Amino acid sequence: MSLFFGINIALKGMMAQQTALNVTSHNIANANTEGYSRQRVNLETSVPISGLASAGQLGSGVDIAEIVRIKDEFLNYQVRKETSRLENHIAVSHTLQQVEAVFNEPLDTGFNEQLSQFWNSWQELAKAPESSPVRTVVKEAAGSLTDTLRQMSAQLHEIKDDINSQIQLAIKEVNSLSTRVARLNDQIVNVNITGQNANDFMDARDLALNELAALGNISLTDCLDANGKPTGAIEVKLGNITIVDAAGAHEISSSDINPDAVTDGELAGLLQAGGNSGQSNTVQFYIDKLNTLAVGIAKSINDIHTTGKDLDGNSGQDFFVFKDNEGELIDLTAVDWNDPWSSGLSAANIYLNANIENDVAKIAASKQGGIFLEGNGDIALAIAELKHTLMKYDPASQMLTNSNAGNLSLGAFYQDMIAELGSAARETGKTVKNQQTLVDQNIKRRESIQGVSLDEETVNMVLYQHAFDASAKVISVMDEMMDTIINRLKA
Amino acid sequence: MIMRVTTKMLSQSLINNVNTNLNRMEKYQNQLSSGRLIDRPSDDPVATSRLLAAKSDLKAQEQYSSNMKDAAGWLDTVDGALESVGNVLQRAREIAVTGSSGTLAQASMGALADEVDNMVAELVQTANSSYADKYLFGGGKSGRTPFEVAGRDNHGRITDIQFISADFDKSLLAETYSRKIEIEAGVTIDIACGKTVFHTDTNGNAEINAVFNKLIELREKLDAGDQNAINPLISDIDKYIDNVLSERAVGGAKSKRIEIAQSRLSAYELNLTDLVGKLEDTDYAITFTSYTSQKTIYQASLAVGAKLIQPSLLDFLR
Repeated sequence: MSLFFGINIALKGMMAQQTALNVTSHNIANANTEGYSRQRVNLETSVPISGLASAGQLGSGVDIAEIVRIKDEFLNYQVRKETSRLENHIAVSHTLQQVEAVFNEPLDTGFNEQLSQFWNSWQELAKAPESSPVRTVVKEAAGSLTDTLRQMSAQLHEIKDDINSQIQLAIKEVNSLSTRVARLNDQIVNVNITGQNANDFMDARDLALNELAALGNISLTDCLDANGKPTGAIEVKLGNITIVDAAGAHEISSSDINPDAVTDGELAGLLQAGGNSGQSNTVQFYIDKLNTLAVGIAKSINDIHTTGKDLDGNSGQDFFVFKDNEGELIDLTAVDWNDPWSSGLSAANIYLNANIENDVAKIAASKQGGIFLEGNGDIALAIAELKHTLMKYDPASQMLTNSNAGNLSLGAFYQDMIAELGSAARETGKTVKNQQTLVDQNIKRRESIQGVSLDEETVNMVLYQHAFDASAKVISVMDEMMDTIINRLKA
Repeated sequence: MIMRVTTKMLSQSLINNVNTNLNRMEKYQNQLSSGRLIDRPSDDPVATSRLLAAKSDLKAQEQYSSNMKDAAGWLDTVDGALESVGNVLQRAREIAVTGSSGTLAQASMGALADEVDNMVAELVQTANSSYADKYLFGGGKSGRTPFEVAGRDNHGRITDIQFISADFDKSLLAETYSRKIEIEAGVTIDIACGKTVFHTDTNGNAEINAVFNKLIELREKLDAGDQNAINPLISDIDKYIDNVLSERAVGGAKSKRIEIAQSRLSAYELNLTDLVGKLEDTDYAITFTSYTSQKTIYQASLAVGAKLIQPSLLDFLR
């Protein structure tokens, strides 16, 4: 047994401790790096020498088995899954908040208030049907009512358009992330072939996967080689669409994305909020309700107004009119009132009749013509009474009609809609909060396992330093022994 | 199991918690500075819908209240006008009684005729009374005076009164005279009171200007000194007086009805205002207390955080 053998053991020890210190240094340096998981050096005893000493095997020192990253795959899966859900709810919640801002209730400038003022203006007209100033007040109230309806409708449509452009952006992001994952796949496979762990590449890939999970629900599968062994690459599916496989990334386009394909994540949330499911968490729901309200108001008032007489003794015209895309008036006599939507009637194109706008004498407040026409406000009163007339809402045609079998007033219809909006926004807001807590907890648990603890690394540092020092000391002792043998032993 | 805690976890938890606290503080601060309890429907959907309903109800009640004030003012004015009509008729009756007694000289009869002629003129003026630019007894025609003197004899005495126009037909009376006002949701009241007083004959049938014609007839009979012809006029005038009184009773009943509705409404309006306030306005005492305690929590979380994130093992090595 030569003395040099001992020096070699010490040398291997020093080298191992130095490598371990390097890993510690790497950990500390990356303590705040997003997506970094701490790494650990696995040391093992090197192959012992047998048969030299009668006592048995003689240890030959230490080797570095591998450098591994500490990773909890299940927690990572949890984080991805819950993040998908969270982003889904956030997308819906943000949209509903925007819708809330459109209606601007319960402020004194909201539609509710304007509708009240509109009805009151008819009451005043019923009391003073011949008064031109009072007629002008009715005109102004009606004008601001239609302005508000059109504006709210336009804003809701803007939100919907905005959702579509957000979906485009998200798809772009998915494509850029899938390209990144495919590239990292290649790099990991190349490192794995040499038998090493591509720790940092895998961290980078996990990070990209987390970002993907925020956009949509993803599922992962290991790619296998010809022998059925994992190559290190992974296959990624967004919903049921494969976006990354062993061959590389596959770009998706907006035509691939639909609620059946993607069921979670920001994309699903956007699809939900921008969709036509008829539920109170979609923008379309409020667009439809507003249309129902606008057409309901217009129809019920027109029906009464056209039975009246204006100040010139002529029969009343339609009080509210609708314009098509070219700005031409839509012929209301040709409209099928069980389906006014096919004729293009909506809150987006309701106007006060221009003839009335230009001449308030055209407001038909009187029930009769003849000599006493101007002092009669029966029609104005009948319109004012629509405020508390119970209308019938038919969910099939989405029409609100003035019928005997009704159960809610026009104002109540609007208030119900606001209540539904409030509930929907509140519920999703709460869900976001709860889901955020869940995600935070999962991330905390993941961090607890994967994160770098500076205290721990400091302890390791001291540990490795001492081992390094000790190994060096062994060499020094061996050196002295050598000195003893070579220089001191004089025959 | 003891959880492994890393520095990043500590700082992340700190940030989350401080954020949550700040969020709560922001909510209270918002309520305090805006004075509004509900900023958007999702703050409290149930309260929002109640608030919206209460507010539009309140707006309607304010309108009904103003309607009732107008109606009450109108009815008061009508009552005043009818009272003077009654007084004029009462005096006319006395004159008729005097004129029919057969003890008067022709000259005295002429003086009585003069007085009756003045009464007719006075009655025309009363019949043309208006409230807020609208003629009380003019039906729906408010732009021009409804009653006009249309004819006089050689002595300048009134012989004919025209209502609205020369070709006005009595069949128009019923419908044109309505003036409906809503005083409660779904409750309308027709305040065109006393509309038939001038146009009802002794049999209760519609006859344009029946009262004026009767007085003119009295004046003519007095002029002619025809005492026997004056006598039957007394009972006719009595009927007109009854008519005025019953119209006043109708108006009074309507006034009373409005008065009752008004007192009920003002109580309801007060409740509504109270409800709106409770739903809408920030309760400063409660909110400010919550705000202060939240502020304390926030400051504490900041102070603890500052101490928490500083130390590590490195501070104690060597």
